[in-house]
Amino acid sequence: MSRKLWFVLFLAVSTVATFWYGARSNPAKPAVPPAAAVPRAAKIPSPETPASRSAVATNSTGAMPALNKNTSVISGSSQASASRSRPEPQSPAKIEADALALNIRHYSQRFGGNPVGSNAEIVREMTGGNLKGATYLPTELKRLNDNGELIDAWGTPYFFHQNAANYMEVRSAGPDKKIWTTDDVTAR
Amino acid sequence: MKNPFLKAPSDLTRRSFLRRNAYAGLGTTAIANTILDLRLINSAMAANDVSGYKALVCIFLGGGNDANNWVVPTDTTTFDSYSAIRANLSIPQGSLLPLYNVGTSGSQYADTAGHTYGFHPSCPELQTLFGEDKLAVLFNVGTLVRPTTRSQYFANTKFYTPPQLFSHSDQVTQWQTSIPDAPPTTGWGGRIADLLDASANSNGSISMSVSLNGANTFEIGNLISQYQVATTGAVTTATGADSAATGSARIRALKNILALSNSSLQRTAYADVVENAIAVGDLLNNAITPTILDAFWTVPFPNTTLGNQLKMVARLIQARGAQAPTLPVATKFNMNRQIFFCGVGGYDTHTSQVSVNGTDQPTNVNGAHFKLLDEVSACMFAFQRAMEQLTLSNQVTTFTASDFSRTLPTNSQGSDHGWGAHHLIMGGAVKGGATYGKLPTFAINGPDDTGLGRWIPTTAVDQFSATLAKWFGVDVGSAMADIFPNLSRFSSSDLGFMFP
Repeated sequence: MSRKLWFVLFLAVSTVATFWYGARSNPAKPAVPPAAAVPRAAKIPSPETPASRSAVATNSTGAMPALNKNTSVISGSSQASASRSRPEPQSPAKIEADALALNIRHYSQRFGGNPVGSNAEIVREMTGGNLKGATYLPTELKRLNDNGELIDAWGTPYFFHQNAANYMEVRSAGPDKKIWTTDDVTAR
Repeated sequence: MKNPFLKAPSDLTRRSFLRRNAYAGLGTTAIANTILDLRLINSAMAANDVSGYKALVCIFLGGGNDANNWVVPTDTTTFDSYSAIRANLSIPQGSLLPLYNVGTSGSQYADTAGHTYGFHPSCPELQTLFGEDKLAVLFNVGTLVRPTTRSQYFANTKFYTPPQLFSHSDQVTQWQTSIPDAPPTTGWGGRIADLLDASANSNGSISMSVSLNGANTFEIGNLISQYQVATTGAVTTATGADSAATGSARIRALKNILALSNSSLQRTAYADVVENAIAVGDLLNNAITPTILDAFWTVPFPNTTLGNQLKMVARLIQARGAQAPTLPVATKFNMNRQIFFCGVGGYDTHTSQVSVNGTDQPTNVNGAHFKLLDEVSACMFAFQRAMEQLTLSNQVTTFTASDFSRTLPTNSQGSDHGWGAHHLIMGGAVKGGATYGKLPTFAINGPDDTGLGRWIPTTAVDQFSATLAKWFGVDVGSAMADIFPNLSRFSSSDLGFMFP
């Protein structure tokens, strides 16, 4: 058999093995979607639509805004009957914070350190205001207030606790809209 | 295997070009480092003044101290601005402890701009020291790559700001290296020790750099290693034994093992290192025995983290001198220059800065920031009195440092990461009873603000440190430039707060 044929055969086997490995289920790991892409259940209404703003502004019950009320965090009702040994599903706010933290880590890997400064300064840096003009804030996560600050689902600006060049804590004030309280949602 | 350097120019590909440049870069770095080492050797031979005994004591307030509430302007206009912006964090004017020209009453100190000031109500000891001219305040000092104005900050932020500004660990490192725009390799205390140790402590028996707060960047040097001491003394093999007899037996057994002859050079060298470490630990613990009783000190040290650290520094300084030849056991260090590092955390007061039982009470003694400043004030006072008791007030200078200050506006529960901060310098050699540097204009989006009440420093850490280094004996010529390579970017290398 020629070397070329061996190579083609090897390539085919590798491809099949890769697909099989990627497609198989992993019961030990919760089925959390990739953080960089915000899951559908946690999708944030566009900040530009007045309806979304009023939804955030008028929700005074402390509950997550309507978009998350009746939706499963992970992938629908099938998850509700999942094995009890699986970890509790994460809240949409936690998934959103995780997604933000992951995008900040991507920025850090590209530029050798996290963006720094105030909320608005960090947003500017992650939306093209960096040396490469690259964007690290997907549209799904880009919910801004009039000051250009990234706000959480309850309308409160996120707090970015800058601990080190590659260690940033993303903190949402949570339903009570008061930061540094027990209902805060954090991600690193 | 092909040698990439033997390829003909015509074979030059992008890959080979990059590879060649990588090799060339490595070579250049090595040469640059060699040149730097040679420069430090030359600096060591410069005319550094190492006569007599001197010590520098750094008190690092970890987390970023809210200096805006430590020293507060009390003249009506400035205080009103302060109070309006600080809101729930604001200390009532009547509770502030005024800075007086002499003592703790009489005429109030006023700077050249006409500002009067008050210390936080938890700091009566600092008020006393200021009135005794043993304490100075330096306003708005911070990490700077180069002198920076507000317009420059906004026009080219990356060029004018230190990397990772507002990040805890990076700002701690930059304060302690005083080279914010380069990867950290050594601290400015460590570089001074490298420079002065051989000439100042030629017969010294412990490291010139001693830390009471574990490993730190400030004292990292190329030649001198920092020696870490616990608040109870050197941690030795006997430490932690269930009885003194067990500890002694353990040490005896270890020493016997180390004394065994061994044909391996590496094992022999390791045994020497361990034996030396045991000897230094024994020496240190012997040397501090005379001050083991708290009653030794006329002003007792507070039994707190910082109090115990500073007490140990005082005990080590007490044992600094030359060994009496008649004594059979070494009990003195024979040191002429020493650098000490102390540190205490908890200053990252994003929340509950002034809250007690759910309500904001900036003057309540149980407030988080109140307790922090209360500790540092009482501890600094006890340490200064200890130095006076040892008649070393003029030879020991203590200074504070921190990650950064905090935002002037409240975040409703506390304050967030800032930049420029106010710091204190204490000792008999300090031109005390005065303030130095420029108080920032208390206005959001004012000339000193980045936009959120984070002050753009008007004095660089380099200038602050160089002023202390000059007093410590570092030659103001080439030696100073090697320790603080960015110093020439700033207008002054001596801020004038130290007597010669």
